[in-house]
Amino acid sequence: MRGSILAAGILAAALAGTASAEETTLTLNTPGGAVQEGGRAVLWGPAAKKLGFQVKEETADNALDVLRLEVGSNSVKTDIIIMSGYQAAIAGTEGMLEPIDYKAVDASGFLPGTAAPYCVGIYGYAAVMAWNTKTYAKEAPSSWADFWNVEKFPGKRSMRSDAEAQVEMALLADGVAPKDVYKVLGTEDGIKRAIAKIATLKPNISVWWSSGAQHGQLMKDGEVDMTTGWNGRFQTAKEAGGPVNYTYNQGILTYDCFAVTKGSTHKAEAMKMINEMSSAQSQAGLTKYVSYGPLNQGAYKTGIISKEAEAVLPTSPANSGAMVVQDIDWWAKNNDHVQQLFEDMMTE
Amino acid sequence: MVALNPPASLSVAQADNGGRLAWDARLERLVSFAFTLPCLAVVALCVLVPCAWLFFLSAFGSDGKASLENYQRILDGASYARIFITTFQVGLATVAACVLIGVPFASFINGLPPRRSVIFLAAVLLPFWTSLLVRAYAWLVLLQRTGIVNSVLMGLGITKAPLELAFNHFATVLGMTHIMLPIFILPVLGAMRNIDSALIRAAASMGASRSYTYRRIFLPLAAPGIAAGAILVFVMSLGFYVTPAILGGGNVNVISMRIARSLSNYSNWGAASALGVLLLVFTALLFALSYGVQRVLLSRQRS
Repeated sequence: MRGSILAAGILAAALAGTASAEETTLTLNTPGGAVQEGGRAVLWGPAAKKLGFQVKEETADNALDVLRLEVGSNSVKTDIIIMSGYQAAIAGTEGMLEPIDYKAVDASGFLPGTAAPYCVGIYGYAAVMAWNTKTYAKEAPSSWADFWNVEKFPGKRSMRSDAEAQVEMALLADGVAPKDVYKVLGTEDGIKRAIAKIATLKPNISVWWSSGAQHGQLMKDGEVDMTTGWNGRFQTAKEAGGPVNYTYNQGILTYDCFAVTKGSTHKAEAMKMINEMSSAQSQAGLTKYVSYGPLNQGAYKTGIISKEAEAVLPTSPANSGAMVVQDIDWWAKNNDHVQQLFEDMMTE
Repeated sequence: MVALNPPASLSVAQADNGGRLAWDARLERLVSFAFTLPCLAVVALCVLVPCAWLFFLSAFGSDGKASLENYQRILDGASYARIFITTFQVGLATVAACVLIGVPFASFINGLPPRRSVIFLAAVLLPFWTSLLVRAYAWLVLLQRTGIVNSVLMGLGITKAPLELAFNHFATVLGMTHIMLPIFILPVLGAMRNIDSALIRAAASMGASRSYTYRRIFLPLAAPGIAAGAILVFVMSLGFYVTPAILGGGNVNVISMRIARSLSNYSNWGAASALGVLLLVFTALLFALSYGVQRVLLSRQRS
């Protein structure tokens, strides 16, 4: 009796084994919301169908926590994970991600800097400058130098209560060429120069924003006249008829991406999936669900994205050329130090 | 049931059954201790264990090795000292505002006949039931540049340019005082209610003026309650997060915000834990100090 149960168990296990060999199930971790909904419809949904895989979705607020938990406890179940480029750079240096196999993933059409050693970009967004169109009705500011020019453009400013993207803006305002920003930031003097530049504007900064919702609100209410912030929020405020406009000129472009968990048992399959999901067609389709820009530049040639939509997407050829693609590796290396200096400046 | 006899019965104990009574008393203490066990277990699980875990985590560096780097960073960084000072400043200002508003108000309620005092007490307690977040945003609606206060002031021609009322220490302390007032008034009112009214009448009968009675008799008797309320407000103020975050607009940086940043931005448990430990230590020290002050006040009252 006992023997037969055991035999049945072994048989079942064997059957399950063959089943999973025929039908690979990849576990994909997403941040939820519109990204998950859109991703299912145009990214992993069609890709899995084409490759004959099954996809199991999971959601998490903080992808780094998921990786630390799974890799740290040696019980990896997530194969592909969506995270910010910056988080992926950290996770990569901490040994929690598999390097992307660019022989399997075709990223030749991507914006330079958006297909990294440990992650492949999905969509991009930008930290830009926005202003109140009533305050600056005669002449609108157009660069970070204008943001810092309180004589020509008097008014209250707002910056992020976090150094991320703000130090790049400060250097651009200080006359550093977009291509040299990270070269300058590569030295301690360069970092100090950026922080000092922000310190000079401090008397005119009335609010340090901490969330996208907050800077959107500050502009809508007219609480500040100029702010740094994310393009999506300002576009929404502008469309709602608020006295808000923004520019992509000298914006800091950053992105979310697909990464593969270190120790994933479906590494090769995950690369295949990512390759499918990175196609121009897939990335173009995602713009129907989220207001972020495709990184595969081929997406703008598929005819899926209208001319009107293209004009407001941060990654379109016209807009992205004026921007600095954020160096996520620099941030992964210098974040703690820069944040510390930034905070010293902020609380002074 | 015998075991549950109140200890007061001991005072009438006969010499011959003294031993039995002593045994009863010990048994009673044991039984009542047993009753506190579930509560103690909850405290141990929800307070002591997490605190110990906090201490433990704070002693590890970002590389996972035991080190004091988290504390070293706090000593080295210029911002940490300033953040601690800001936190204590905001806490003290909130206590001061609560005392200035709360003591006269509690005295006023205390002097009212019970039925009317209920109405005023309800006025104090009602805001207590609204969410912290809602109240912070409500202040923002009033205080911001395009807010109601500035619109009215400018509409009436009292001010030409909008006053900077929001996103500073003033707005933060105002918002926190609003939240802390009920917490301050309740213990103060409790102490005032316990004051023997015969003492007040006695002072009056001996020719003391109203203000003299209030200053020399009433306030000293209420002092332990005021001290208790002030300590409560101060300790709670040290951990405030939502109100300074919203009404301070990044210009008021308190410890709780720094802890949150350490956690959410860098997933750095060690750094956040070290800050938590320091806050705990400082709070405990201040608590001990104020407890001593309160003891002195009470003993002076008795003598």
